[in-house]
Amino acid sequence: MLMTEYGGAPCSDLYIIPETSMYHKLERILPNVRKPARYTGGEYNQIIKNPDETEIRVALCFPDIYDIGMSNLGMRILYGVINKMPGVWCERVFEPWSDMAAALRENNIPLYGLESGDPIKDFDMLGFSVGYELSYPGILNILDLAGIPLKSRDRTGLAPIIFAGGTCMYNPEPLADFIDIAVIGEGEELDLELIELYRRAKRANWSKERFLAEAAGIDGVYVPSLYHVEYNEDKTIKSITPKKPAPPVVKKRIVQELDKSWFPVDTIVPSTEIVHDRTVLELFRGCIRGCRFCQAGYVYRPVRSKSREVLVKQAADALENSGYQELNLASLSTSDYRELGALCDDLLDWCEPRNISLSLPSLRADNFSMELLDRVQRVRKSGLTFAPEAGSQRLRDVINKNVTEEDILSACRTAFAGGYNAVKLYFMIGLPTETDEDILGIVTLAKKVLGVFKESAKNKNRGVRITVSTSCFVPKPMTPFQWEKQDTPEEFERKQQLIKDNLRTRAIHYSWHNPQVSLIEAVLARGDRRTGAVLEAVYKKSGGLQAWDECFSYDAWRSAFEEIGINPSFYAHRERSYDEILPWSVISAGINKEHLIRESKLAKQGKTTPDCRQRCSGCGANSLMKGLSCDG
Amino acid sequence: MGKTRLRFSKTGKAKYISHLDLMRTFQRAFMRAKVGIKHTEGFNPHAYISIILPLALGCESICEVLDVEITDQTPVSLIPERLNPCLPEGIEVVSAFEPIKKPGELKYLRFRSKYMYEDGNTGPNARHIKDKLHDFFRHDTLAVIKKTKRRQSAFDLKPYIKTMDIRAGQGESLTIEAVVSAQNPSVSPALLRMAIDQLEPSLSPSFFEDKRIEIYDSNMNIFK
Repeated sequence: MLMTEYGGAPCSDLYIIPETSMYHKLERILPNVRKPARYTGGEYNQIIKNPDETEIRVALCFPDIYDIGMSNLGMRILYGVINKMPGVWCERVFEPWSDMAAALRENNIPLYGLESGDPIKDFDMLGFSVGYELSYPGILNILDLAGIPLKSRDRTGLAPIIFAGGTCMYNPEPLADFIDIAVIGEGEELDLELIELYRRAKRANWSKERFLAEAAGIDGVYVPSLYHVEYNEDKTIKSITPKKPAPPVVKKRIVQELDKSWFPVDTIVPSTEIVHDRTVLELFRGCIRGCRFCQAGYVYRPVRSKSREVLVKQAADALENSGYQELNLASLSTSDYRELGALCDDLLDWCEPRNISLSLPSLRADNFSMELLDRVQRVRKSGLTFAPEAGSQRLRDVINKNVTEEDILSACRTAFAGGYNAVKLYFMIGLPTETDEDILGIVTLAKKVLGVFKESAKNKNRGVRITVSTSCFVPKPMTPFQWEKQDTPEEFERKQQLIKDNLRTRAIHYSWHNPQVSLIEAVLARGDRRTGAVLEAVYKKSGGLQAWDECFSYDAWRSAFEEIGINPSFYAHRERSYDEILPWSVISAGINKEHLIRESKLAKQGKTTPDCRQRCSGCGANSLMKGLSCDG
Repeated sequence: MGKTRLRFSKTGKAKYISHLDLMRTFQRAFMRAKVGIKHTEGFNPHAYISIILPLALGCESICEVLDVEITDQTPVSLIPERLNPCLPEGIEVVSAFEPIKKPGELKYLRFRSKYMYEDGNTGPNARHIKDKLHDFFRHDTLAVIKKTKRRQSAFDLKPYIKTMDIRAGQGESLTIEAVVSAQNPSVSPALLRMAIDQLEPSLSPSFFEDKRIEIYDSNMNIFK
């Protein structure tokens, strides 16, 4: 029996897939790949439209596999808002796992949209959601699997237009040769404006150049080909010159009122298990904390919350519609939601009778309470995670993680006394000004947590499991640490060994990140246009999926750097001066450079900045609010 | 209210949904349809859903059965129409009823496999293969080596094939329809191919499609 018709999805016009569909070819390869349900579409709530009544076909692409991409709330929001546009059909595309990629190539099946099965090379626009630097080669892999020329200049027609958004686009330069457009900031309104402009262009038969020039006039649109970059002899940037009509600075776009912004309550429910297989509720955007290493904390400003009433309604609708039995309260620092206790009570009133549990991503140790924990874990119990980030108070002050040792220990005390016997502690190593003393502070803190367990645990016989996890610091654009140097992989390894040597207790488990991956992340995070050639070389040598341990090839990256003549240390291990022109100078997240410099200097002095609720530090994000106030 | 058996089909794209994912899919579909079902007690409650004869990934079926306990007042007859709009493409509940037989009484399975032989001009012709396959399955014994993680053992599947019919289809394909033991021991379409692969590899198809057609009790009455 062949796959000939769609059903299940609540959609007005049922469209019958033609017999010539590539699904007939796919039938031959799907039985031989792992988790074939990733590649079929057909899930509950997918959106099907009639192509004959569709003016614009959009592929929303995610440069990682289905399991990861379907877990991304941004993808779900954009899928929903774009499909609400009349005459526009937005489909999903994920990067296939290597077995499927090989099978597609071998059988000459071009990459297709999951909903229709139609090749995306014939679509009007491809929009990439890019949140992780290591996924850049995946973008090229998707384009290549689709049969689309990789370089923007080799795609001369109007279609397909390749645009990209997401956190990585605060420095889109490594992708400048490949994408036509970067959309900066939140996409709910911006992407729709871009698609509407494309509709005009298609109707009036504009050239690609005309379309890009007009697009550059939309706030938040960055067209890399409209900027000319010149370099100094020392390889730093000499100048970035916009060509008319491109603006000198592209400022990010935000949604003003989150309560009124569209939230996907009728979202796709995958038929195969994904990484975050639950309903996600976004409580607010932005963060009041100002941790100096945290890119998300800076680029998602200003703080905008949803009201309790809207959240409860959206949660109930989304849970009813999806049938999920877990609700995750997501935000950068969820426990900073002003009415979290009351919100949890309201949600539990609805969830408990239906066997639905609440979960929080991670907790801040300074406003942690058993009362909150009881609410969250009432139906299902899971482990606890705290992120002290640094081992000593001095270093926590440098990074502005305003959490004290006593906060952490008392949070653990409360948890252990409440019956918990597993705690995860997250740290970063290689932070600016770090010494071995700070590293050993991680060990000391973990041992103190163990001591607290012995003192206060309700049931000591069950034993305790403390997990210490260290990641490697990567300096990111738009943060006060954007000028800092990163530790070399050798230095990271030495510090990891120092922890291993001093953490010889069975009750404490230590895990660490691969410093080689972090080096590549650092190069690309602050890379300029010249690093684009490396991406092309790496994807040819080692394919996409570089974010996966089993696919990541340090050798491929190293030899690509060598061939292209790029020194990774120039990007990762070099401290910049405040007046150097950074590759992302033309992009603005709405934060003043003066604020970042001030924070950078305070960090060097080991001085903290209070959170935004205690005192506004004047970062500038307020100016993005039109008539409304930050955190209002 | 009470113990309920659903008969459903799993065809088209849905054939790529694995057994475990199918259980989750049904659990969520019940939630979406607002049909209350029994959950386990304890810290980690999950729905009691039992699929009597797990279906291999890639195999279609029009005769799947699933047991569940309904805890609210939803009339059994209304369950298909309540559940169907809440299921993904390719899964359709055909009927719901109070179970008559115990799961252990499910004895026989009828399935249909399409074998394709597409080795180009040099490859064997389907009509010719048909006769050979016929002879193959007429052997007194068909012992296959089944490998598990720990050991391997020989299993003669011949006694567990109740009936078999092989027809030449269009072009280079054959259709095999068989009634086999459904459980204890279970004979699957894949096991028949394993026998061919091991004992007469020249008859191995280049591609195949499997579909379960019907399930029966020991008297060849449709299992309900």
